[in-house]
Order: sequence, then structure tokens, then C-alpha cells
Amino acid sequence: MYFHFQNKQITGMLTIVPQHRVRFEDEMDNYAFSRAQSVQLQKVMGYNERHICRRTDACISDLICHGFERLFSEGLLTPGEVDALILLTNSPDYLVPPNSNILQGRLGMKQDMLCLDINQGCAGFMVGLVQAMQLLEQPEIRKVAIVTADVASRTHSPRDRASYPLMGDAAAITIFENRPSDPIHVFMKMDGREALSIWQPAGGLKEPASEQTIQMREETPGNFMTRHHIRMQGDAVFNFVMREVPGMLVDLFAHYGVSYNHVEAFICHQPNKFILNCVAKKLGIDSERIPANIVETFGNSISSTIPCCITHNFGQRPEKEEVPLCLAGFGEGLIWSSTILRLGLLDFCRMIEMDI
Amino acid sequence: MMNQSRFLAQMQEVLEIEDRTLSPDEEFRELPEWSSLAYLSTIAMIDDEYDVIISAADFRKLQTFADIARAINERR
Repeated sequence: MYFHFQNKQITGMLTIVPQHRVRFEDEMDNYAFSRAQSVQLQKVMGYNERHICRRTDACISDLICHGFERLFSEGLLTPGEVDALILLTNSPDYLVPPNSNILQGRLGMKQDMLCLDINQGCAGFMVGLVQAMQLLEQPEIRKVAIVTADVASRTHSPRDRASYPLMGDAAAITIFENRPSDPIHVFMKMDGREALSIWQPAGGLKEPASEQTIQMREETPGNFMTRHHIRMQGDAVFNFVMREVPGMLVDLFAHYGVSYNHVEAFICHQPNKFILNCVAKKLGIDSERIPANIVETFGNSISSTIPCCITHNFGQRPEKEEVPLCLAGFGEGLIWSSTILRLGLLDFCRMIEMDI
Repeated sequence: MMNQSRFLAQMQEVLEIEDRTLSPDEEFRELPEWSSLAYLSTIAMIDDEYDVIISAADFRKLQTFADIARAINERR
């Protein structure tokens, strides 16, 4: 389905990443890959460098509050301006109550607002975008903060060599407001039949924490994890992306009636470099058109890869001029979603680091 | 029908095997060159060259290169 919006814009974007960096080269020995495999993984998949929290007790709220406090102290946002705070994450501080309410209280935001937690991962930014634009139809809602955040280094097992060396931690605060814009169409589809392709089995009531769930087990050859770690069925997810994502983008551009040259870049969720290169190949576009440098520089931060990609690759340029972009999120759910919009004249478009 | 020797040559390229040719009856999972990355590259190549996607569950049942070729043919 398509969501249609008019006169809605992203007016601010701040990404928060931990200062601490880890290089695949330095931890290669943890994973028992052969030398040749390691080189291949580095080149083809993008196993390289990532930013993760050094502190083992680091939470998304630490990254998020650091970001909001920076915006408040620099006069780019005031706590009272936020009419809705929507948090999209796979790694909440608490299961109860909503973490967005905890943030509201901690950040001194007003009572006259909507706080909402949404359990979302890879497509979290796109789901948040749709939520924000829908809420802006309400006359009393002028500013929506979409907060995407994940501490993936804690939700994935350090001994899961298929995913851990690619994961990074990050949070992003994206502000949406009513401002004149071209019509925006957002493609959104979901398929719950394959929902358990990306999955954390234990921790909910279906499989509560027990002596058994916290044991490290070899789930697939060479990959050890507890039932509380998020695991992915890589082949099923890869097939899903190849089956749905290129076709979605063809449909989206046809819907807008524009060619691929209309956009400056395709800002996609970045699970690994290989998958993005395959999407580019299938679309018949140069792989440079889909930046894949976030996964190899910061790691896959799940819900924040799109804001990470924008703030890292475009810097403060969107504060000064308009940049036409295609945005696409896909994964967990399974969900695939995309849109084309002009990102421009933002009040802020930055990435900051946090010592955590 | 697909050309089996062409398919084997494509698999050889995916697996980066240069010093010998593959035979249809070889069990690909037993090769030292087979890895999770080789698996993804195989799926990508099949999608690219034959416009076919073999589901993860179906792929798990395949043993030899001839099995893969058959699975591709059945889906074209």
C-alpha cells in the first residue's frame, strides 16, 4: 500500500554514535574464520569497523538523552516544543512501562504530548516516518520527534560471527513538521508469515528467562548464543530482500513518475554491503548510488542506519540546500518500505559522538 | 532447459575455483570453498542469471550441483 502526504518535512536530524570503535582485524581471532574467509568477509560483506558502547550497561536511553540534551543546549530544540515522541527500538531499557514516557519525564517534556513505543527494527525509521506524518495531520501536533535507537552490541551474541562483527550501536532523533513540500508517497508492505526470520526467542512470556534460556548454545555451526539474543535466518532474509526490495523501488519510481537520476542517492537500511550491492545490480544502477559505508564504518545499528547514512554522507549540506533522496528500510517483521523526498533546509543535520 | 556445463562454470566462478572443473554429482557442502558467504553468492548468482529464487527451506534439501540445477529448472 501507499501512504500519501503533503506538506510534511523532516526538519532536523541528529545521530548519536558511541565514540568507541572496534576493528574486525583486531577481533578476527574470536570468530575462527580462516584468513581467506576473513578477507572475503571484509571485502564483500563489509566486516570492518564499527562503533559500539564500551560500557556493558549502556542503554538506548543514554544515547537518546545525550542527543536531546545537546539539541536543548545548542538551542536547536526546546523540551516544550515536542508534541509527540515516538520511540522505535528492539532494545528497550524496560519492557514496562513505555520507554518514551521515561524519556519524556527525564527530559522535562510537557504533559500535553503523545509518547509511543513501537517494537521495530530494520524498517523502524520508515515506520516512524509514516507515524510522524500521520500525526502531523492533527492541528495540535506541530513537532514530532521520531527516535530510533538500538544497542545492537548487547542484543546480539558476541559469539555469533554471522551478525556480531557487523553490528553497531546508535540512536537518532529526527524531527518532522508541517512545511511546504511536494506530495510524498510512502510504499509499505509487510509479511508476517516469515516474522520469525529475525527473532529474539526468550524474554517475553512465551519463553520467560530461565536457567536454560541464558545458556550459550551453538545454534548454527560456529555461532553460539543464548535464547535472549536476536538471531537471523540469513538466507531467508537475503531471499526476501532480493524478492521484494528491487521490485518495490521500481514500483516507487514508477509511482512518482521519475527516473533513478531524480534522486542523488538511495539511502537504504544497511545489514551488510553484499546485499546492497545485489540490490543495485538488480536495479541496474551503479553500486555507488546505494551508499554501503555505514555498515563498514559504524556497523548495522538496526533502526538508525538511515539517519546514520544521511548525517555521515551528507554532513551539514541538508541544512543549506535540498537533496533529493530515496529512502528504503527492510527487514524484521518482515517489512519493506520506501519513499522519495527532498531533504533540505533542515534546522540541523549532524552526527555526534558520545563517550559511553 | 538450462545448460548444465554453463551452470557449473558459473558455480566455479562463485566458489573461486580455478584449478579444476566441477562435476554435477559433487556435494557442494563438502567443498572447502563452501561457506555461508559462498551460499549467499550462489543465491545471488541464481537470481541474477536465471531469475529464480530457491527458498531457504528448499535449498537445505539440495546436496549436489545437479540438485541445484534441477531446482532452478523446476522454477523457471
